[in-house]
Amino acid sequence: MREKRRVVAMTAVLSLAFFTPTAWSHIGSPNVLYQGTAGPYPVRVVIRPPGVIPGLAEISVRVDDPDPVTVTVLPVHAAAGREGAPPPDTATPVRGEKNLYSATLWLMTTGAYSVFVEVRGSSGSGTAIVPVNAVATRRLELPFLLGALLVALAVLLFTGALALVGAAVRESTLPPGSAPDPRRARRARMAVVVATLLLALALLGGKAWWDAVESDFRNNKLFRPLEVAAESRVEGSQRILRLDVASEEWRDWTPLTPDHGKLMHMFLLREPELDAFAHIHPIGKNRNTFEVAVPPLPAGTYRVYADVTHESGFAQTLTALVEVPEPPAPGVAPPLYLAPDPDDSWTIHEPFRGADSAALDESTACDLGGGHRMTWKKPDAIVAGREISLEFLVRRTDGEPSALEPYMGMLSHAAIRRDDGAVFAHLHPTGTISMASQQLFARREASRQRPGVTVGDAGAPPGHHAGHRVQPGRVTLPYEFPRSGRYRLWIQVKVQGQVLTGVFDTRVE
Amino acid sequence: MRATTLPWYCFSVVLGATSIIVGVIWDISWHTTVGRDTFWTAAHMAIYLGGLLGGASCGWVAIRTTFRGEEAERAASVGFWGARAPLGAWVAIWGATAMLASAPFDDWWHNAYGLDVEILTPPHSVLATGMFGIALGAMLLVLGFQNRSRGEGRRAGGLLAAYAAGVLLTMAATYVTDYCYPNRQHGSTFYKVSSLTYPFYLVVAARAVRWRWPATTTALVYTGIMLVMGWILPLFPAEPLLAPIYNPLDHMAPPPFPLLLVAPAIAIDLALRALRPGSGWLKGTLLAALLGTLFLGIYLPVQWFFSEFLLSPAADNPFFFGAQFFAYFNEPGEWMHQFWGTSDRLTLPQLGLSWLLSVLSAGAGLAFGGWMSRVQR
Repeated sequence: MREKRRVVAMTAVLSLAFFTPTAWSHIGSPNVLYQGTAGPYPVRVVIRPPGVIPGLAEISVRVDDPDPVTVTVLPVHAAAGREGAPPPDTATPVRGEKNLYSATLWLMTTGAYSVFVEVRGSSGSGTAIVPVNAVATRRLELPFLLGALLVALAVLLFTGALALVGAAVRESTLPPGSAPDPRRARRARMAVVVATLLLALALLGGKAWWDAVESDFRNNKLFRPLEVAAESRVEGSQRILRLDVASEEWRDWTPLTPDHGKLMHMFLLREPELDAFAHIHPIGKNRNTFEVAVPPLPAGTYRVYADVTHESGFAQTLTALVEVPEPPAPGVAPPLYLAPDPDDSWTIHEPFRGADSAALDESTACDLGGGHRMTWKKPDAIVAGREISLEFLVRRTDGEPSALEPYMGMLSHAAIRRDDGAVFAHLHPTGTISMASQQLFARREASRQRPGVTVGDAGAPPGHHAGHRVQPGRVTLPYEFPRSGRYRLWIQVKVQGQVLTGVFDTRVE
Repeated sequence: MRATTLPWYCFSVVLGATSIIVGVIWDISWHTTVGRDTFWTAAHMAIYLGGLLGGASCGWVAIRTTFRGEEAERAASVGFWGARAPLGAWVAIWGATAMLASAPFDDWWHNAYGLDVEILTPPHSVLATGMFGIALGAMLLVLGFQNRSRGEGRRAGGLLAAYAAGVLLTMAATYVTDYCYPNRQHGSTFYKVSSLTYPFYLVVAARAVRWRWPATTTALVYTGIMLVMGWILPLFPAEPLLAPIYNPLDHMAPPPFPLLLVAPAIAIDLALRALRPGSGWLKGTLLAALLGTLFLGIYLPVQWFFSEFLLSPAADNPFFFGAQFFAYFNEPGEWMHQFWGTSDRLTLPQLGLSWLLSVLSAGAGLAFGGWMSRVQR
């Protein structure tokens, strides 16, 4: 097992050096964070998926319970279910940490997996289901030193083989003690020439083979974001945004499944100012086309992020750029082309000022309007690659905590984006996972009727999540910033029937 | 065979080659059944230690012959980059180097493209070439001793040489396992791959090894190794440790039942007994044509009907381990007992191509075997 850790560590190091980031679920944010319960135990699970499949995923589980517990992890593939899963692995406690357990699991085939985290202890037992996508996401370069070593070995073996051929032809059939005559020596030299040509051909063949594997990996295995086109037009008194999945591969994907009643959660961010933000819900006109009414945002170039979950349990983020035109002049109001979704929300804030470090550091409070204010309990330093809890407090002007209501079943929705767009993540208090994915896995297990498995939040109806202690007015989102840089965060809560969005900026080291 | 006449390192290299092939078949069974492994499994250790044993023994011989060799020893050696040792020793050292070189390459390959679930990959090919080197080196060491001895010595080590040839044949057969399942034995690919691969090794053994029935013994060694592995592996309980598991195994999966190479091997031995291989291209070509025809003419009907038996319920027992080689990730179904590849039919042109490959393979075996029968150093 230690060897595997070395392999994983080497992979991690190599990934940092040679990472070619590719977008998939969220953008540039591959790690999965989940905060919920496993039966009676509050847990936080972090899964770091491998960059290639088959590959090793690193799992860490933090159990919020004073008593010692046993934590086991199990990889469940969407198609095979729990019966098609091996015996669970026991996670080992991490030395020097309290209540932190770690394990590694092999993800063997591409597709939707979930990790069943079971916790057993004196308070009982329970299972949390954490969905994770298994796809190849990075191309590993051959490190210079390793490449040099392999070339040196290849040269050694090549010349050695030629010397063997020469020795064989020149001397091997001679009786012991006799020396080769000139004719024999000449034959040996010719044999070496022929062998050189043959070996060189073999090496070329080997290189062609390697190239074929490489291009198969790049074209067929490496996850590539689907080609998506977005355009916006005026229809009567509305602006309509239309998203078309242009890629032919879309046909091969399983159909979409709704997440909290919505087929697609779409975010619009105006570039480059990042001042205008919208969280809207398109409807599907057909399998490839989605349309939504654009809320009252200023005209401009917007980056579109569309989060979807497939029936297989696989979740991904589609992205495109769209030009939103000026809103039509108010006049006679024709019938609406598309009724806006009552859960759509938007906000307009000051433009992002990345160069102003002081402003980034001081961004800890935001006036939400309507008499509410959101403050961020920001740690002194935020470091990339380290999991943190993003804690926000929503208070009324009189200082009392605001009464937060569920917004599409969650206490909060958050969008996080790096200024250059290399990272985009859509978070909830339960973490980065797709809740629809989790529910799919839970429903599959329930229909397979396995008694004795109490599944955390996933079996619960929407509107009731993470039933553990929640302080009024407080929102906690687990996250791990994948890269350093400058980020803007939008934190949405619902108060008195209205969706309010707090906007914060930060630096990540 | 008197142990005192054959040099000790012949045995250690042959032992190394045995450890390698046992390790390879074991490792394939492990990946088929358990799935998950680390670098340090027993099967991997058997492979690498076998390589080290062969390489280190021959390394020792090379150092000793070069720096402290007696006249007789130095006379019975070839030169390689200024040093001296028997040719077989250099081949084994080269093989061990190739095996070690493949390790970092294979490790990177898994990290770049994912842990492989197939045998044929470029790094595995480098490893296979190295393994072949050890087995070939073993054969050359024994044959060199045989060919330069007089009288009794000429027959000494004949069984060991045939055994080394059998290990080499088993390595080749293992390398092309994916093409040779019983389910493929009504298709043309199986016969083309077999015709390209097996006549060469059988004819080399028949031509070069000084032993009664050399090709038959070689084929029997291959059969014996596969049978022993097929009988012993399933005795060990094991379960898959990787998802998704569609085929819940509870014991180590055996390899496929060995091919009945003994049948064409007997014919090849008979033919080379009756017809002394002479010099001359014409005679060589005609002999190759005869041997190639004998191989395919016997191999085809034998495997055609035997594979039907292997896929039937009658073979589904511990002795014949019929269609029991499937992995934990194969979905159980009727297909496991059926012939595959409707697009792989054995048409007349495909048969003709197989025959041609068989003749070429036999011809190469005659040439290579002829050289091996003259190696004295």
